[in-house]
Amino acid sequence: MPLTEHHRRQIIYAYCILFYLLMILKFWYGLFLFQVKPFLFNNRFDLLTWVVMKTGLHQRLLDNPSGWIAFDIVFYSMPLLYLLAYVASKRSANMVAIVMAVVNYLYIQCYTLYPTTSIEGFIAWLLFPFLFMCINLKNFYFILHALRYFFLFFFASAAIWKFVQGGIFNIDQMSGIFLFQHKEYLISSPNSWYTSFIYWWVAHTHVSYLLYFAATLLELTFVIGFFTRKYDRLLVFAAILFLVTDVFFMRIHYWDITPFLLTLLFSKYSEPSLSMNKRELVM
Amino acid sequence: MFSEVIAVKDDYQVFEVEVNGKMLRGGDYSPQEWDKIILPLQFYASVNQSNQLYKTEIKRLLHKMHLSANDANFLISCNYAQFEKWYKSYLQHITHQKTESLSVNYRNYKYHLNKLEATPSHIPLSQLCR
Repeated sequence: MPLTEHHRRQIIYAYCILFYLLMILKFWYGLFLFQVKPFLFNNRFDLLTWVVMKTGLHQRLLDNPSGWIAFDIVFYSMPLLYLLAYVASKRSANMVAIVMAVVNYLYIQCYTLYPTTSIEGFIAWLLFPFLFMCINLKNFYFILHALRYFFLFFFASAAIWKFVQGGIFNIDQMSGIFLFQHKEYLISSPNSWYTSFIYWWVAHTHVSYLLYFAATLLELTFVIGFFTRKYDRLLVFAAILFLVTDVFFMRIHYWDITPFLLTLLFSKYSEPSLSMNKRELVM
Repeated sequence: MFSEVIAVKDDYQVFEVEVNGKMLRGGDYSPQEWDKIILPLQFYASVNQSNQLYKTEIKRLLHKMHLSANDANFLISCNYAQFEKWYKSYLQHITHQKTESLSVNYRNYKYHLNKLEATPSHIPLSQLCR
C-alpha cells in the first residue's frame, strides 16, 4: 500500500503529540531554559556549534531571564504553529518548517552548551523539520526513509564503536561504567536500595558485562533494518526496551529520540505514485 | 556512548555538595534533578579545559576555514564568587530550602571491598578553576 496524505497527517499529529508530551515531562523535571537558568557553558568539538557560538547568542542568554522565557516560548510553539499552518495550507506549512529548522537549531545548540544534556538526545528535533519542509508527498516519503536510515545508523554505529574502541572486549566494562556514572549518587546515598543494587552489579563483573553485551547486541540488531523493513516493528520494541533499561540502570532519559520510531512504524508503506502526488498537490 | 574502555579504577574523584551543613543525597532527587545539581559543578571545574580547547583547536580550525572568531564568545572566566552566588540561588529551586551555607568538595574516594570509601584528600570547588 502506498504512503498517502492520510499517513503524512498521522505522522505530523503523532510528532506533535510526542513533542508536547515530552514538553510536559521537561517542564515537570525543570528542564526548560528558564528553569535551567544557564550561567556558564563549555566549548565542544563541533563545527555547527561554533557557527552559533560565533554569533554570541549563547553568551547573551547567560543570566538573562527574559531571554530564556522568549527562547522557550518560540521553541515550544513551533510544532503547534506548523500544525496550524499545515491544516491551512501545505505551502505555508513549508515556510513554517524552514523557520522551525532554524529555531530548533539555535535553541538546541545553545541549550546543550549549558549544563543540561548532550546534543545527541535532541537529534530528532533537529532533523524532523526537514521532513516537514516537503510539500510533495514523494519527497516526504524519501526524507522519511532517510530519517529511518539515520535512526538505524544511530543505534548500529553505537554498537560498532564498542568494537572499534574496545569497550566490548573489556570484561570490567559495565562495572566501570556503573561506578563512573553513579559515583556521586553512591557516595551520597550509601543506604538506599539503588546504591546496593548498583554495587551488586559492580561486584558481579561477569553478570554486568552480560548486560553490556546484550545492549551492544540489541544496538547491532538495527543493522537488519538496512536490508529489510520486515522487522521494523521488532526494532521499535528493541528501541523502547533500550530506552527503558537506560532509565533504570543508568538514570539517563533519552525519550527525545522517540519521534524516530515513527519512521519505523510507517516504513511499510511503499513509494507514492506520481498521479497520487499530483492529486494531493491540487487538493 | 561508553564505547571506549572504562576500567574499574582504584580512585574516583567525586563531588560532595553540602547545603546548610548537610550533604545532598542523590536518592532524594529524580535523575534529572540530580543531574541539575552535579552538572554545573562539572562544567565549572572544566572551564579551563574548555578555554584550552578553544585556544588550541577551535580558533585554529575556524581560522583555517577563513572564519573570524571573537575570543569573548568562546572563553569564560573562573569567577568563584559569582558562580557560588548563582549556584546557591539555583540550588534553592531544586532543594526547596534556603541555601544558608554551601560547601562543595571534589574528594578522592578509594574503591575498596566493593564500596567507595572517602579519603582525606580533597580539593574545594573554589580551587578547581583558577
